Amino acid sequence: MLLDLYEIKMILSIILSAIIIKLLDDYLDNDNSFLTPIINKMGKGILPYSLIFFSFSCLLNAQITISLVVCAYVIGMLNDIHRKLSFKLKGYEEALVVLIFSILFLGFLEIITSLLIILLVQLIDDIIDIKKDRFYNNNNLAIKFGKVEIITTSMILILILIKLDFKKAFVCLLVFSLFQYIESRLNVEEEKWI
Amino acid sequence: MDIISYIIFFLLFFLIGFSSGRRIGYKNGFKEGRNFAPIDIRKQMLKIGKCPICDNKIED
Repeated sequence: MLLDLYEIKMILSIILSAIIIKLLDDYLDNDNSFLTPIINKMGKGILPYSLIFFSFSCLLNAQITISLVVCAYVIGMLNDIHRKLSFKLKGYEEALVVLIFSILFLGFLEIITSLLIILLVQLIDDIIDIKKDRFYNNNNLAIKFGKVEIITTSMILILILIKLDFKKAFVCLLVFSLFQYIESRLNVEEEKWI
Repeated sequence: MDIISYIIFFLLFFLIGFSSGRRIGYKNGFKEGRNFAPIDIRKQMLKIGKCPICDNKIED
């Protein structure tokens, strides 16, 4: 059967993880996205709601959820690696500690595929947002390293992911495109950077 | 090795070549432009009869 129970659980857990990551990312960066009204309404309540989402997602598929959320945290941390954080560690030190612990508990393959997926999503997002980020002078890898380099790197990452874990990468990219589609339809922000 | 690995290696070498070439090109281009700019500005000045930067007219 093409879609058995395991796969449906996996898809749902990836969707829930994507919602958690998007919520936290938009909350921390004060981004203007389709989730902004929900975040503004929630206020402090975002923490318990995220935890509830996270618990349900873990119930469905713990390995994928934890690896995706941890890797999103690590990649997000690498944006500014030298800032000091709450535990008096620098950004990259904390990312390294988190990565080592998650590799110990979840296995190398799971973490490396999640890391590559999140990196790929970040790169594609940067390519899509290049005009907007140039207008607002945001941190963008496509502006920093060049568009062709980032597109080639994304293609390499896609091929590596096809080799390592095709199913997970496919579902993650599908969910990412769904989110991008929703955002492009619902985003009320004026497109004045074009 | 299967075809995907070959494509990965091809893209990797392309990436290395392209990005290094681009960066070297930027540096060389900057140097060339810096050498060319004074001559070009002087040429323009003699042609239009005034300085293209400060708009002052040439006095004989």
